[in-house]
Amino acid sequence: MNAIIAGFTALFSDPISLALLFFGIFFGIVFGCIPGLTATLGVALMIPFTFTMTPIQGLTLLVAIYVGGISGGLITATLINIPGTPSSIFTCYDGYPMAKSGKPGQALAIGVFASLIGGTFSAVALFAIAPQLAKVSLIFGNWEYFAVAFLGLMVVVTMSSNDFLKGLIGALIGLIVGCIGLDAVSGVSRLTFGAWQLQSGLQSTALMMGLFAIREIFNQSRDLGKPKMKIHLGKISFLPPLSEMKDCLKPLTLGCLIGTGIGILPGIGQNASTLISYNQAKAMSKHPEKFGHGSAEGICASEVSNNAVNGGALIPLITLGIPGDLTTAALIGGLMIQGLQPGPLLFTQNIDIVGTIMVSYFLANIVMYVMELGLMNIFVKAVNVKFSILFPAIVMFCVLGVFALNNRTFDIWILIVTGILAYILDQLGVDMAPIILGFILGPLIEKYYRMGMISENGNFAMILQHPIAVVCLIISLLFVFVPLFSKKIRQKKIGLNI
Amino acid sequence: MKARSLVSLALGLALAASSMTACSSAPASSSKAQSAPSSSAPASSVAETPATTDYPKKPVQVIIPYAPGGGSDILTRAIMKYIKLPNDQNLVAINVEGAAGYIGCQQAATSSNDGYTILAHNPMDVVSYTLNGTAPDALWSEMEMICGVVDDFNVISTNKQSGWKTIDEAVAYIKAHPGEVKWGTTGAQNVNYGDTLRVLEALGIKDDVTLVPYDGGSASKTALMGNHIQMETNSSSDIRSSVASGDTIPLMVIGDRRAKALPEIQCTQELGYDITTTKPRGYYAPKDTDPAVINILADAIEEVTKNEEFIKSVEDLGLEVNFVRGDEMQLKVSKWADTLYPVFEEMMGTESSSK
Repeated sequence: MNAIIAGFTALFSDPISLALLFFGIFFGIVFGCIPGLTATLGVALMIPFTFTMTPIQGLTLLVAIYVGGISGGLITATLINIPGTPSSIFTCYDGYPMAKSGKPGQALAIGVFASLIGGTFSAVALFAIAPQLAKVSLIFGNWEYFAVAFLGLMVVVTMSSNDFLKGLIGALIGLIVGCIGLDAVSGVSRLTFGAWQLQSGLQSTALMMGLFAIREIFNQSRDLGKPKMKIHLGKISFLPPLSEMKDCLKPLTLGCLIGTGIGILPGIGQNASTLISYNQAKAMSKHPEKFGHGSAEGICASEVSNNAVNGGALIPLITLGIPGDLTTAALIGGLMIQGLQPGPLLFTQNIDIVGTIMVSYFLANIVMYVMELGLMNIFVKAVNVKFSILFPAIVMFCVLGVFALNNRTFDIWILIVTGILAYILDQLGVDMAPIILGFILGPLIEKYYRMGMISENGNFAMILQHPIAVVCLIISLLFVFVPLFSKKIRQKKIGLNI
Repeated sequence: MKARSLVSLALGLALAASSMTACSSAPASSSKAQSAPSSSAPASSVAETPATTDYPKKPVQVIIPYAPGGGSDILTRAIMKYIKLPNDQNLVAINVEGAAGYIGCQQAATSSNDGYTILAHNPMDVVSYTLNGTAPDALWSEMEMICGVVDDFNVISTNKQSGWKTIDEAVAYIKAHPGEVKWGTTGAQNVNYGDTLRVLEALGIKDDVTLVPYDGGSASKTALMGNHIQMETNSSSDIRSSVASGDTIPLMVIGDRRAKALPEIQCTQELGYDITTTKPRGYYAPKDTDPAVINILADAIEEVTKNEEFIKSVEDLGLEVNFVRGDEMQLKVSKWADTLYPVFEEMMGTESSSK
């Protein structure tokens, strides 16, 4: 409680901090909504500028960029089917179809609203029970991480129910691509073909932007000659229509819990959280068939969880000094540059800093909500320009963003080659989502499984001493078998052979 | 021809000026021996290579092989803040992360040796790329060492759950309960792992603990706090905050002297174990970079290491300033590399046989 008061005092006694909050969110949204420019890049680019600011100002700015950047990704995902930031990949699946069916304003309103809910929920968790939640993250050892990642991978079944075989092909491609580089446990080079540039594996933003941005531009380029449908936003309401939202309570609750939960686990990451949340929501929905065709539940599941991760990831950062994801790792740098040591002592020695992070995170979510709704018209105007201008611009930003993230031209080639191969796969009917799933979760599963085995001298049975891991494994097996059986039964009923 | 000789004259003057400032402000204590070669080297190199003139003519890129915000990144940015290069030029930080620092290292090694690309790296990590076979050639000895700037230390620690207060208590428990204690390292096949093996050997408990290689110092620290491991070898800078909060209990420092950040903790050398590897951080230039250029950079960095504000910010990172000129650093590193070579051979050997 003291922290919150200290945070409010610190923030409101300094008008520059407040101004930086607004600027950071705007900067973040712009970075987030431009494909290729990510929240991580936004924070990383701003860190050197915080050198000359006070700690309060610097942290407010970085937190604001973080919040704006993650949320901003939904705008381009919804309007042109290209995720602005990798964590909005799953927003494309439902946001774009809904926008295309003539309800872009509604799709955006649902997405922004879900962002607000996810952000606010995790802010409350951050305010109220951060130290307790941090202890939970310490309970997670190798086996628990292994089991959670394994559970995530098993949702491939629910995800690719239309064409199970092609889903598996996609997941396998992802798993193989994820193997490239030095393996995290014993340092052996895999699938690098002697190229040192591949030792670090494929850079994930380059790969994801190739799969989702470059491929989609190839796809849509086929319509270049045809007259373009202008997006008409219509009236913007502050709250999404109740009729659309009545089924959304479940995905919203689920997404809040999954997002915050995964956020506090250092070592899983934002993209895995959206992936798991979206597919869990689909598995538990009354209308799973609507997912991928403009389901409000789908938009909610994706956007609520990627924003809930933010607050979750801040918890181990301020309580233990451990970053929950890539962007918070950059935030730690923002603290250290100020001579502050993130960690358990921050709470006792720098309560105003902890408070500032909490309060600016909370406020950033609200400002983000208002700002995104207010700027909606401008965003729509921006994407309404001719394809021949819009697409080259997006490709340029993708190249720029992918390069700037790690200063390597090699990553640009990854972006382009992935884009071309993804287009071919897309034409063959292979969905991109299972590829991402394999790419993100495969390395996690392998790493934690092998480390678990090393720490138990190769005795897998020791996993039985870890109840959380066992429960996760049982749930994942249910995920595999229940839909398989129910599908068989359904198919028998309508007289189809498999 | 005339222009060139004029330019080389200007360089000579600039060099003379810079070496004079380096000499005149050299501290009386430790760096006396180092300042002597620094004043003679530029003079000879001017005679040999008149082509490098008023260096630097443009900003010098520093490749940082880790993400923005990490310890290495902040250290270099602090140096950038205070450094004064000739001609009012600056350093520009370029982060190129990946493969535990290897990608940036290789990118720097293959860069042009015109003096406008240098590398900020930990020499012992660069050594490990070669010893574990990640790098095809001996990058650490092929590249030119500009200087070492600060020292970090690998520290053996336990957590508060174990209740051990000294290394002897820990060793006694491990000997009495073989196979029970798990010991984390910051990676497999790095110097941290190699030195851990040597320490375990020296303590006589090599077969009594299970070594778990984590993916970096932060992961190992977290596992120790959660009691998934009971002992770890981690760097002093990584465990700084958890030592301060009492979650991590340091027991022994690996090195030839005590760490300033942990003045009460005994080091391996004073306990009679011949494991003296510290964890220096320094700067490299690509192979065959002009020695004159390297001296200009080393002089400028040495000036920074005398700045009180800089020393303070380095201590905030849990590191300590220890400026060492390139040649001397290279000598130190190659001695350590020699002692580590058989350890890596053994590590790699057991790896492949266990498969």
